[in-house]
Amino acid sequence: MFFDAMKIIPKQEKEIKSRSRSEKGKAGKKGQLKIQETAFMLLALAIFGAIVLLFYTNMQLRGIYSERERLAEEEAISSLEKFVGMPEFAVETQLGHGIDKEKLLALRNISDYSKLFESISKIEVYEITENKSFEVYNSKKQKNIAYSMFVPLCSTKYVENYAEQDCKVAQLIVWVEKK
Amino acid sequence: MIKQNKKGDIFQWLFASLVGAVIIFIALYGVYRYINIERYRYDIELAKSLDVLMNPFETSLLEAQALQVKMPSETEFSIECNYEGFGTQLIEMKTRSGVGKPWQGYSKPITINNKYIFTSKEKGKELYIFSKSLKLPFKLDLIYALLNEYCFVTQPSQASEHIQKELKLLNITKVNVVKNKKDCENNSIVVELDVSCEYNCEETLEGYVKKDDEKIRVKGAALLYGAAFSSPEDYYCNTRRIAYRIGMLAMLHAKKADELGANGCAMGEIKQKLFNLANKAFTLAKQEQPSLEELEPYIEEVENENDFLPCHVF
Repeated sequence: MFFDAMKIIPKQEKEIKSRSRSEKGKAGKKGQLKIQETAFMLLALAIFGAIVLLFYTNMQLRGIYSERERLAEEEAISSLEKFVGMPEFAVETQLGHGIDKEKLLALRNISDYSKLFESISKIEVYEITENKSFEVYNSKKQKNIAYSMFVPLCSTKYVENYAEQDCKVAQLIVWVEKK
Repeated sequence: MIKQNKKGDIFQWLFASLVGAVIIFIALYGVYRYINIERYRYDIELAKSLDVLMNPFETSLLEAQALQVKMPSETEFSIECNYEGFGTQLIEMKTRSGVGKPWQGYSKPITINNKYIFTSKEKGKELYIFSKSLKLPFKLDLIYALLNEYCFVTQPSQASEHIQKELKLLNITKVNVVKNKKDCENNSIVVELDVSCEYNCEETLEGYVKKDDEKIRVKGAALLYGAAFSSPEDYYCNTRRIAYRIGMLAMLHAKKADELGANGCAMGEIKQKLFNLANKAFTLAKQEQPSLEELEPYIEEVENENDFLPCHVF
C-alpha cells in the first residue's frame, strides 16, 4: 500500500516537499543559533554583573573598615579626655582636672578594673621630667594605635607635717587594638 | 513561511520578556537588599556615634550639662541593662526611611560599659542629652537621653519649682511640668512626682517617682531624673551598677591610702571606713531593688575621717 501511494505523488509535489523540509531545517538551525546567541549574551551579562558586584562589595567593605577605624579613633581620642575626668584617675587641682599618681599606682593592683577598660589595650603614663613611664593597665591584647595627651600628673608630698600637691606635666598614652 | 516567522517572533518576544522580567526582579531585589544593608550599617554607626557623643557627659567638671541633637531622620532607640559587676548597657537603634519599610529591625547593639544612661524606649527626631553629677562620695555622672515628650505631674512646691528651674536652665523643652494629669499632652509619657526639699533642693530633694504603676523612692535630683526617664527595671539595674562602682572606688581609695601611708602620711581609720563603705556598696549591688540612700551613714563616716587627715584620700 505504501509503495503504491508513493507512486501517486507527482514529481513536482515531491520537490516542493523536500524544499520546504530543508527550509524548515534552516529555520530551526537559525532559531537554535539565536537561542545560543541569547544564552551567551545572558552569560556575559551575568559575568559582567558578578564582576561589577565583586568590585562594588570590595569598595563597600573598604568603606566599612575605614569607618570602623574612624569610629575607633574618635572613641580613643574622646576616651583620653574621659580618663582624665574619671574618678579612678582624677584629682582636683587649682587648674582643673589632673591625674592622681597614687590612684594610678593603686589601680595597677586591682585586676577587676580590666572589665571597665574592655575596649582599651594599654594605658601608660610617661613622666616627662623624670623621663620614665609606668603602666597603669595592660590587657595583653595587640597594641596597634596609640593616642596621647598632655596632663598634669599630681602626687601628694608630705614634708614636715605639711601635705601639698606636686603636679608635673606627663603624657597619658592610650593604646587601642586595630581590628 | 509567514506562520513560521510569526511563531519565531512570538517565541523571541516571550523569551525577551521573561529574561527582562528576571533581570528587573534581580535588580529590584538587589536594590532592596542594598538599601536594607545600608540602613543597618547607618544605624550601627549612629549608635556608636551616640556613645562617643556621650563621652564628655561621663566625666565633666560641671554639676550638669546638656546637649540638643537634631537627628537626620526620625530615630528610635532602646537600651538594655546588665548589672553583673561593673555592668554594661546595650544600645540599639533604628531610623525611619522613606524607601522600603519605614522601620526595620534594630541594628546590632553597641556595648557601653562605663556610662550610666537613664532612658527608655525612645522615639523622635530631636535628641536631648543631659547629665547630672552624683557624689557618693566619689563623683559619678549620670546621663539622660530623651527623644520622647515627658510630662511631670507634681503639686506646686519648692521642689517642683527647683525641677522646673533646672530644666529651663538646661533648655530641656521635652519635659512639661504640670499640676494635673489631664494637662499632659496625649503622646507624652506621664511621670508622677511626690517630692519635697528643704533649704538646698539640689542635695535635700527626696520623695517618690511613680511611673509604669511602680513607685520608686529617690533622694537627690540626679536619681530623681534617673527614675523618671527610665523604666523601673533599668533604674534598679543602673543603681546596682553604681553601687558596684562605688564599692570598687572605695577599694581603690583604700589602696591609695596605703600609698599615702607609705609616703609618711598618717591615715587614721580611713582605710577601715572605706572598706565598710565598699562592703555595704557590694551588698547593695547584689540586691534586686537597692536604695543608694543606705550608703549615706557610711559616706558620712568616710567624709568626716577624710576631712581631718593631713593628706586627703579624695
